[in-house]
Amino acid sequence: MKKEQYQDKPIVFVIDDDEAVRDSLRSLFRSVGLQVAVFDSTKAFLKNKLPNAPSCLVLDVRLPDISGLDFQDKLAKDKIKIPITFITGYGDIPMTVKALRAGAVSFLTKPVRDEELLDAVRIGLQQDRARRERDRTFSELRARFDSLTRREQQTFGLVTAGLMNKQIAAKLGVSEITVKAHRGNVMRKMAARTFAELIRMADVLGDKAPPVQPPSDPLDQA
Amino acid sequence: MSRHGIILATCRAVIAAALIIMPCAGGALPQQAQISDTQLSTNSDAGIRTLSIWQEHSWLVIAAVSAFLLQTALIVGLLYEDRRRRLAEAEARQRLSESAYLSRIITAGALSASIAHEIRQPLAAIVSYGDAGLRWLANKDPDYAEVKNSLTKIVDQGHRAAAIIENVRALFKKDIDHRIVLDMNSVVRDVFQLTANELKKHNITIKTALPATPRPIVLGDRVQLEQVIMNLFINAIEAMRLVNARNRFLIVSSHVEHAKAVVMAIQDSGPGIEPDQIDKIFTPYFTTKSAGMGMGLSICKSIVDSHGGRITATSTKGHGTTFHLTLPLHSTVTP
Repeated sequence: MKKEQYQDKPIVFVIDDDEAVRDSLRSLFRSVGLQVAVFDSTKAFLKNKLPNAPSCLVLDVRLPDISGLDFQDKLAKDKIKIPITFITGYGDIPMTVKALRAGAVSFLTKPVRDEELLDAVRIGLQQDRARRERDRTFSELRARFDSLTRREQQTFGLVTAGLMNKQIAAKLGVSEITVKAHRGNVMRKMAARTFAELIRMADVLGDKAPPVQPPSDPLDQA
Repeated sequence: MSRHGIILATCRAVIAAALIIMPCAGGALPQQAQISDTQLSTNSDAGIRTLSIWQEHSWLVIAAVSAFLLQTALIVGLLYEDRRRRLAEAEARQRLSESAYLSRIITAGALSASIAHEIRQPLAAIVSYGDAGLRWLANKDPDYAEVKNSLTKIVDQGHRAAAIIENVRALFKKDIDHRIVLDMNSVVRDVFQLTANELKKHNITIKTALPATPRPIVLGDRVQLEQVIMNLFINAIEAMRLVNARNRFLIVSSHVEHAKAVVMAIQDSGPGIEPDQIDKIFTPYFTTKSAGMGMGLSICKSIVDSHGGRITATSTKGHGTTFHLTLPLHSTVTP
């Protein structure tokens, strides 16, 4: 499996159609202890399964099959989130602006200065690491949230919106005691030690938390 | 004008036709009705009715009128056709000079861009191999095998870059095959034709001294030498924009010097070049124009150099600039 081949170490991918450029960049990244994989085309890159580790892409703008900028769009459309650093032999300002607007880490002209390239790659890996962390936290919270009953989810939404127990009880059409019980369950199941932590979790989950249902369902008594 | 000739000739033809018809029309006399009195019954009245021109000669009238109409239509048609041709020619000339001017810019631009890209790849590789090699050396445990690999690759890529440059040179060298025996006067005339529109548009008065003998013949590439002259013309036109329209002169002359060289002089009446700049004008990327690349004259110089000639400029501030183009005379005796 390709996944195991890269382990979980950060990895730099390079796509450039020029063999010498590819090889020299591989040597450069290896010299600073980075794991690296090089490809001569975007097709070859896509055939390869992306590892579950922080990764970033060093992409040549002028490629034979597709322009690097178009490939950036394609990756975005396919929801492949990988920070990109462009390298090009002929960069102009509109091209640079387009790439950076679309989220590129950096846009460097060949021949590239090694500090600039290594800095860009480090930033890219850092961005990807942070995104992975965010994604992981989100999916964990999401799983916890999904483990709540519907009433508890509703309580979660109202509590974190700043409502008092009494108000929630009125909204859901239950007694205040029941709300307190729901609230205790929410804190426990979401693994929130403090109320502030629970609010931060609500922020991370954002509008992913389902809207509060009208209190018209007396059967749903958790 | 030939148009007036056609109209006059037509008028004459119509008048002649009318004169032929007229006498016939008036020729019917009563006595000519050859009927004797015996053949008529008594008390009968004999009268003679003169036939109208129309009744007697209707076919002639029709023929004359239709001939007239046909000729008129023909004249109108010819005039229209003539006008159309003139417009088309003017447009074609304009397009030709525009495209020649554009291609001059595009070729230089495209060529330098593609060479730059080709050379940039090995350069990028050399720089990265060098950086990598330095880092391999600087590591706590220097990896000499990697350093050696980097150095080997640097040497390879250096050779690759040299090969690319050699290829480009070879590409230019091919042009030697295009060298033919050329009359420089005809080259100049071609360029005049190509730039006729521009010259006219800017009200530039042209003076030439292009003697046919001795013939100013050189061995050269027609397109390249036309490019040189064209470049000088366009520079002259652009320079003379800055002076009063009545004082715009382009003076072109050629002569054979000491039976050895063809010398051309292209003189404009523009504002001239500053004395401290005149030595730099053939240097690449030097320009006095706001939108210039500074490639035109340096390309001219490299073309002239490759033809074994030389190009110089003299200028008096306020009195214009003269470019002197010297090329070896082609003699049929010595190869």
